[in-house]
Amino acid sequence: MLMALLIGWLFLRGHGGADYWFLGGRTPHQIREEVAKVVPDKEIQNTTNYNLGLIEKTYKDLESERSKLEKDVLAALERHDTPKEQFHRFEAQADEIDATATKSMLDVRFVMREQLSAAQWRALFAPPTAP
Amino acid sequence: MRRYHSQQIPVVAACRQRPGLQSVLMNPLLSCELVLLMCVACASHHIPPKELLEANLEAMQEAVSAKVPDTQRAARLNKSINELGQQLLSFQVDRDRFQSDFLALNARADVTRAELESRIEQFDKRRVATRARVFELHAELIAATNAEDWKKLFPYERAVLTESKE
Repeated sequence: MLMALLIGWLFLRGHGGADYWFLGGRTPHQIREEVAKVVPDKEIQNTTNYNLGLIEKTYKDLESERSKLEKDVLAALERHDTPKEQFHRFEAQADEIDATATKSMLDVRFVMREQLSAAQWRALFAPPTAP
Repeated sequence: MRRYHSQQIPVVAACRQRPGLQSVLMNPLLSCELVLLMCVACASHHIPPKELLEANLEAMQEAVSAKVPDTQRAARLNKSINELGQQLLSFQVDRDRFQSDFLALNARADVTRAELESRIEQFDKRRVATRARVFELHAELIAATNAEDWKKLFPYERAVLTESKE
């Protein structure tokens, strides 16, 4: 688990870290390799890969917001005199980032789903099996 | 909670068993510090999240005993740290269950957006409640310390909250 508890999960529900947990721990690059095997139609391959690129870009953009939030929250926790209201502001800021990211990711997820057959979807996004 | 001694870290153990390893370095004291830093960085990537959290919570309680001489304040701090541990350990379980449920739902070709949003919303209620309680417990730690104490204890809280090693 690469995402830190406080910022990664209590604040951003896993958004913006190095691990794409919602892809079952695989990277968009690894999914693209699977797309090449599972989806024979080149045009659908391209649109699927484009959408994977959108996910990647959203996450890279989020990473800088997440890093800044983490730095600010840790600095506030370190100070002995930080007012409680400051933490409420961080919570509101995080919730805004999270809501936008969640909507974007679900939008892309359902666009991708429409472009693939049910069998292709299941092949690409089967949940990881327990070790 | 499981305690991680430096002897359990392989490179430290190797250093102790083979002092000659140190003598090849210019400054043995510095080299040992560097080795320890490397070990801690490696260890935090290999310890399962639950065990790392438990080890960090225990380290924080040990730091309270060592750095806060006032026994009443130390007791207040340890009570808050205990609850912080319960909250975070329970949240780790929720987080893992949420990930697993979400991946299973996402794999279904016929899942609706409402179903996914509903699972996210369910997890978020718990997440937001835990987050609020974590900040309340942080406020309790602040109230039970002075600025000087907190300077010594904060690195341990940071390690707990960031799932890293102090």
